[in-house]
Amino acid sequence: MDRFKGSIIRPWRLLFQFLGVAFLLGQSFGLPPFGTSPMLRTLFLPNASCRYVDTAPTSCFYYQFQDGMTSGASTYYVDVIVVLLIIVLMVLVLGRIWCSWLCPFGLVQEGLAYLRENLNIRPYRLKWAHRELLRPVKYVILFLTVLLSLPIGLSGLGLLGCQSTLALPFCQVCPAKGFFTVSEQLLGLEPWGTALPLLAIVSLLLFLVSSFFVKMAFCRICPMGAFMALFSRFSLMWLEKDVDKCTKCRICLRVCPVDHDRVYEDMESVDVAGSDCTLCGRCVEMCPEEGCLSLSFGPKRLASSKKPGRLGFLGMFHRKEGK
Amino acid sequence: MSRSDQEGPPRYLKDREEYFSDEQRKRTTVESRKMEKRVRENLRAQKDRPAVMKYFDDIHTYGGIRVKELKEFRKTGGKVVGTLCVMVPFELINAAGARGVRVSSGYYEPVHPANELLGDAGLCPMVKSTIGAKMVHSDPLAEEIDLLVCPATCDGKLKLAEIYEDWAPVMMMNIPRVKTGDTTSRLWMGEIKFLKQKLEELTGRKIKRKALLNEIGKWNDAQAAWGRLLEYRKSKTPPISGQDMMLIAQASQKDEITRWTKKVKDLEKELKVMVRKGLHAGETGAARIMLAGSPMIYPNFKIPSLVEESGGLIVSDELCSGHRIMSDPVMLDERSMSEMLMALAERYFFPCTCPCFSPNDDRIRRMKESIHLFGVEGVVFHTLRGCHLNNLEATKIEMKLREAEIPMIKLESEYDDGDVEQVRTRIEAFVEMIKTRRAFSVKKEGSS
Amino acid sequence: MSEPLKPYDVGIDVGAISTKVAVVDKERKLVAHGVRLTTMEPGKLARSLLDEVLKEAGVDNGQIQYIVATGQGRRSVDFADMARTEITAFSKGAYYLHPESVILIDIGGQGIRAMRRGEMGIIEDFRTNDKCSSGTGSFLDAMATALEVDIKDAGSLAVSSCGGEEVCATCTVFAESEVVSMIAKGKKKEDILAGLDKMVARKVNGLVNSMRSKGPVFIGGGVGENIGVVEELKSVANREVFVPEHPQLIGAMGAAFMAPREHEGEKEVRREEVVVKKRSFFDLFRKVKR
Repeated sequence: MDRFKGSIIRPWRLLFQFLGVAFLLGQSFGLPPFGTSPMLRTLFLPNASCRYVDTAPTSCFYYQFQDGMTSGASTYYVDVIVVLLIIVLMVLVLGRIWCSWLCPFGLVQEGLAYLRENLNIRPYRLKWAHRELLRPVKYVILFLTVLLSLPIGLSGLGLLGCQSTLALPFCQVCPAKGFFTVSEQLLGLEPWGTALPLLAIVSLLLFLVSSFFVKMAFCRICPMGAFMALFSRFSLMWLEKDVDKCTKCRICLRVCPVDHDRVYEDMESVDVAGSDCTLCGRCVEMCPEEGCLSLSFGPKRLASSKKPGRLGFLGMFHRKEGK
Repeated sequence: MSRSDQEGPPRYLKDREEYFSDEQRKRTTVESRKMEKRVRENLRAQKDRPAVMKYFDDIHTYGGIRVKELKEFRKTGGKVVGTLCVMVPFELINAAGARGVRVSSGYYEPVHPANELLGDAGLCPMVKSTIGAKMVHSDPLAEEIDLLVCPATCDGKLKLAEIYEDWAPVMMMNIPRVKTGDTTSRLWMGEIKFLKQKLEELTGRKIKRKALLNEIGKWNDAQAAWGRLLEYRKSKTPPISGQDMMLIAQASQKDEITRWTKKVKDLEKELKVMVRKGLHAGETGAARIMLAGSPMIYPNFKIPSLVEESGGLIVSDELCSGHRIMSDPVMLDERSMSEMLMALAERYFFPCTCPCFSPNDDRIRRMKESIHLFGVEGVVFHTLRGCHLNNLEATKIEMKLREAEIPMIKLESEYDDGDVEQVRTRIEAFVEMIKTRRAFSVKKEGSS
Repeated sequence: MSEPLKPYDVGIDVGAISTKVAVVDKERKLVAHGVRLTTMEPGKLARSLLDEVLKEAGVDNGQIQYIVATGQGRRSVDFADMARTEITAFSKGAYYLHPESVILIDIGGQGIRAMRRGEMGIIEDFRTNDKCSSGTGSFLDAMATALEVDIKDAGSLAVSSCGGEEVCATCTVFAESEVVSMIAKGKKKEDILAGLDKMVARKVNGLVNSMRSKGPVFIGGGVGENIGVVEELKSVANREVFVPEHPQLIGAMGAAFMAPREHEGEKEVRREEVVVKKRSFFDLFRKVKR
């Protein structure tokens, strides 16, 4: 029995994440057990697979979103709207659960953090002021993406010539692009000497270094997260806080991978997830107060915080308040 | 081990030790011993007391086994660190190979030497007693310390430590008294790192990561055991009295923690048997009382014993000599040294609802939560004379509790037995009031 | 129940200065009473006083159903059926004598107690003086002695004053020296007494105000017999002040009133059920609690 933990969420999440990422990558590489199902081909999930993998059956929604904005002027952007509507619907039901339960970026970052932890290197904690500065950055990136991809698709503006350089602006700096192009060349899936996306490689390196030292560094500026964050506060997935039980011990803030301070600060709301919480449940499993924090789907509590030393088997499906 | 042969900071009072006659020293010692014995016998006279409680009595006994153990420990080169507050991480002290003891004094007699030398000054009697005990060397436990760690919570303790410097090396810890903001955490974290450094200097060995992890584990086990004990207080007829619980909590700050945990587990087993037999502490239908306010350090158990003698039963408290000692476990996210220190620092600082902090609405909120959890019917708010912080907060708490229809009585007490009868009358009236309220509320329920 | 046979209850209030005995019937009417200074043996004193009172009233010992003791010496009354604190007893007495009053003040020999009454005569809050007995009966007694006035006349004498002196000191010892210096200056006794009464009234008024209620005041205890203090309080307090017929006996009467009610059968103790927060589907749309 681990003396430092309350309920258990993390192993479940990691399992889910591993299987999910393996499935989606298997899909995109066309590996035998996974195949390439035609259904996935029509779905554009947040970042299930990357366009820059040759065998990929599909792409992330952000690629589709940028592409559709540039090329969809003639079709009244129907493609974009459909893609975004699916995502919005998903967020409204499940919140940003994607971010910490399926996103491959998240898995990589957690792996790096795990490596760092085992090397006994302390994480670099951002100061409160810096966190506040960083908070709007993801929305700025989202906004810039729209600002760049929309006008270059409009023939009336005469910017069609820029398409070759400015199309898919975010993909050019996306670490995934850097990773997949480099790895495909290394594995020989693509011939050597094709032009390397330098910007993407630089951002890949930045991504690796920063998320090695700072927990979930990329999540703080991820524009896909920003898009989901716009709607996640209306979602049915809650991070629920029973204010009366809170002892203000600050554990939730300390263990939060994205430094979401609303969990600690907010003493009014029932749902403290807000827009930045990725619902990883770390605070729920670390909170030492019985039933203070819980992940819940609407009024249904899926997992609640427990007193350490009293953990039931399967903390994840633990139901609250027997008496 | 006195400092007389060392070069040190200027001494103000030590050279005046001759001020006190041998007769006075002796009297203080004898009186302290007598008082402790009286209180202990009073505790032992409680009805249906679990047998394991004797162990906790022995830990607290004046010059008892714990003092002997510490003496032995020091003879083998070990160091003992005294603290005055619940905000000092014992895990860190233990990880350095030292032993921690809380040396706040609850003896009545040493107040007089302190009064004689320092004047009354409207100062908190606990502070005076602690200094006085050191001045005349009347507390054997306080004689065994090599370093006093004192967080500067209130004015009394701030100056207490300064005076204490004459007899033992003192390390002050700067408590940020405003809890909001990010800087608070950083400042306190710095203090904890400084404490670590000081402890390493004292014991001459580095605090290892593994050792600290191990100690945190031990203390978390203790917390879990204590938490299970608390469950018994929630029942309609708690099998253990509030005085005993306070005694156990305070023993954790004197004892070896693994042994303490084991004994608490034994006690839990015994309580289980008691519950099955239907035995319980206090009289039937006792008023469920919560203690709040200034700390009551053993053997200053005047108020709790009065409450439990006048038909009340303490089912919960909010004291830094009670529940607050074991308020929260240390939850480790990562296990690098600085992360563990941070976890320690935050656990000892943020959940603490000492009135010395400024936005302290948490205290009221948590009192309300305890009232709800333990079925409290009335709050006895005790302030030591001169405890301005608690005195000032009392009114606000009283108002807030009244909104929740929980009566509160505020008692001011000193370190002497003179006011026992007065206080008894008030507590009895309070208990009677609670019982009539209860009868009335039952009647109202029945009629409607 | 053998109620017709035992139509009386007795309340014994063993105060710090005087012991009071009140015999009441089941209609809560005072039948007989007696007051005597408390001696070193309060138990014996109470017994003899009770016998005397009963003899005077012509009540047989067997006609008494319950004896309830109260006051600081309540524990020494060994023949009492039960003992209750003076605070509870006083509030009970005040409630049955004047149910409208909200703030109940008991100025006894050595203590001032202020209570706020809630529903059904249950006190909600109370305060007592701490260690200082200034403003109490013994304070006024000491002042009257210093002025060589009989304490029984002190009240009416003070009322006859045209303009009171100002007494600043609240401490008994300091006030006495102040009084002595006033006498030396040739001030009139009644003026000094009026000043003292004003001081006491101010002190009591401070206590009244600290009870945080605007309701009428009930005043009892030995000092309630002092008309000077009561009159001063009426002018200072700026609200209705009620003085009962026998202020000194309120505690004893209240104790007697408590008897039948307490023995109607001890109610089973029932704690309030803990209300488990129910969560409905509509909580979905209500993310903010308060």
